[in-house]
Amino acid sequence: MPRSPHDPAVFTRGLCKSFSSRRKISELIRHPFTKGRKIVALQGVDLEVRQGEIFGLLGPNGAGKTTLLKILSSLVLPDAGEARVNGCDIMQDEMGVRRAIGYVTSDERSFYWRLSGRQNLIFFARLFHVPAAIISERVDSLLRRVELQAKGNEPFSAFSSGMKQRLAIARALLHDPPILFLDEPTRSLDPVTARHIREFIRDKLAGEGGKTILMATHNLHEAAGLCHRMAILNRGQVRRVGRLDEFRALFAAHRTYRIDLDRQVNLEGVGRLVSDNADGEENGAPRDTADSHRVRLLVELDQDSDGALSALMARLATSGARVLEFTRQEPSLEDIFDRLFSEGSTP
Amino acid sequence: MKSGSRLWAFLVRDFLQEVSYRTNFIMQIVGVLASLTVWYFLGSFFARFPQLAESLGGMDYFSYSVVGIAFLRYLSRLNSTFASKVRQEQVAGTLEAMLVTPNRTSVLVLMSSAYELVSSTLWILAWLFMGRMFGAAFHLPALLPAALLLVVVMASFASIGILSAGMVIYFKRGDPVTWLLASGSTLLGGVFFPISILPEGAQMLAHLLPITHAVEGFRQLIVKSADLPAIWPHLQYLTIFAAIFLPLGLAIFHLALRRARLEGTLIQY
Repeated sequence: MPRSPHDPAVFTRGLCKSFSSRRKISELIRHPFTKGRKIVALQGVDLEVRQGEIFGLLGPNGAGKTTLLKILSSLVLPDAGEARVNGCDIMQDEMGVRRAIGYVTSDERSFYWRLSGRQNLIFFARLFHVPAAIISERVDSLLRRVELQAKGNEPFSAFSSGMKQRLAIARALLHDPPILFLDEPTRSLDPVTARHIREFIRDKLAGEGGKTILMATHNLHEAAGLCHRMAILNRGQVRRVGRLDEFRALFAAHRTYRIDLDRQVNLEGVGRLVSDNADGEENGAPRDTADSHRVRLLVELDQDSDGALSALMARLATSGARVLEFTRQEPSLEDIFDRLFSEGSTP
Repeated sequence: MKSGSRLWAFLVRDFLQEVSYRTNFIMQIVGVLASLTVWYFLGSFFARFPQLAESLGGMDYFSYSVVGIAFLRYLSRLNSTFASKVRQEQVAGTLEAMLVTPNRTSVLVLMSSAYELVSSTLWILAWLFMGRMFGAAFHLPALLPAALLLVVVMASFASIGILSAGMVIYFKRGDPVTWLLASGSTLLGGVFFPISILPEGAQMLAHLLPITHAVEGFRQLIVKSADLPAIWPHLQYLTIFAAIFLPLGLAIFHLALRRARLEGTLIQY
């Protein structure tokens, strides 16, 4: 247990993990005693997840999100570094860690398909040491909570993807752990079901249940809608940790303007015009739009370049270009995360 | 109390899965009857050669072979059950879900095999009972020696099974232990013919195999109605075998488990 409410629910320092790549038979024959190539999964990961928060681990595929969750769940041993979950050291107190967490994967195969949802939960309840006298009551209550009470006695094989995911959440709650690890909880779900699962996580698990949730996802909108804070993970390293508004603020240094012009203008001239005022040839290059009468310019200018914007507008006016629409564009989540993911990456 | 609850969970889980395959039980019974019929006629044929009974220690061939086959099957199931359970859970995708529960992995693997241990033991009893119905010269054995022998047979067979599960966890495929032991036991274990007809070197090897002592001990008990002193050497050997291989199997299993967790390959197959 954490000693005080201010102690982190999850803490890692310098966590490292690498895996050996599989070697081809020809390599094994030629060099039987040399080790396979190392694939670095995590490099010195430092994290602190506060009690009661929804914390997102964001990153592209292969960033190390699942490896981190597996290490924190004591399924995989780290090469170096330390980690504590609910105050329990993952190397010294595996059982303490497992008692403190509920682990939800997006793998539909993690249940016994020939048993019913209820039978599956009863089996896992016994493995989680739920007292026999209250197993039935606990399972019924969880089935109600995830809205599967009517389907509980049906075989798991008959469940839809959304039902399977809800059952996985119910299983993670069997022993009422304070911390939940969710690995891509809405992957492979249709948008409506995914929204229901997200609402359930936010309102029931974190809100009413007060659970600490560490969630791995590469769904940016999901992270933005759910997480109090998030860590940007790429190539096994934590690039940034913070709130979404803090990430947005990073983009305040640049402003993007969208200028729609009447197509009846000399585009070459306009291109040159914009290049004179903005950095880079791509910046401000004319783009087609769905409207065949319009051409669009996206111009990125420094925050303190109001003068440059005025100059650009004046030159557009004097060149005879007819401005149909002018808007300042907020960076999309994709823009933000694209930049964050690529920070520090070497091609 | 907690162990009992977990054990019960595994027994119920496997029983429910077993009965969900409705024709499976019927197919097993049909298989047993078909197999017994073959050995019955083979036994009837060998009964025409009275000198054969002498080399079989005074037993008829049908009774001799039914006991041999029972324990060869038992050995085969107990050797493979731990490894196949690990593999089943890996393939089914349920291993990870089990491993995040607050239980030692070795306990989970052992308990996963509990149903197979129970059903294999029941299968042996059913096989011997049906063999008796077919005319095998079986007698009800003395309870204490039979129970003692069964326990050490189970422990020695299972020890190799646990070692084999360690191999499956680490190597994923290819389990030379089970293959070698199954082949060696079929050939040298005195299952289908007495080991006295083997060359001297092969006889020495045969005496090292646990199945040789298992089948010989049970033949003494249920065909010749012998008591504890007659099976004592077999009981002793199997106890020593289990005392060596059970800790060894568990140690190798734990080693493989740790390596797999380090390499992150625990749930790969």
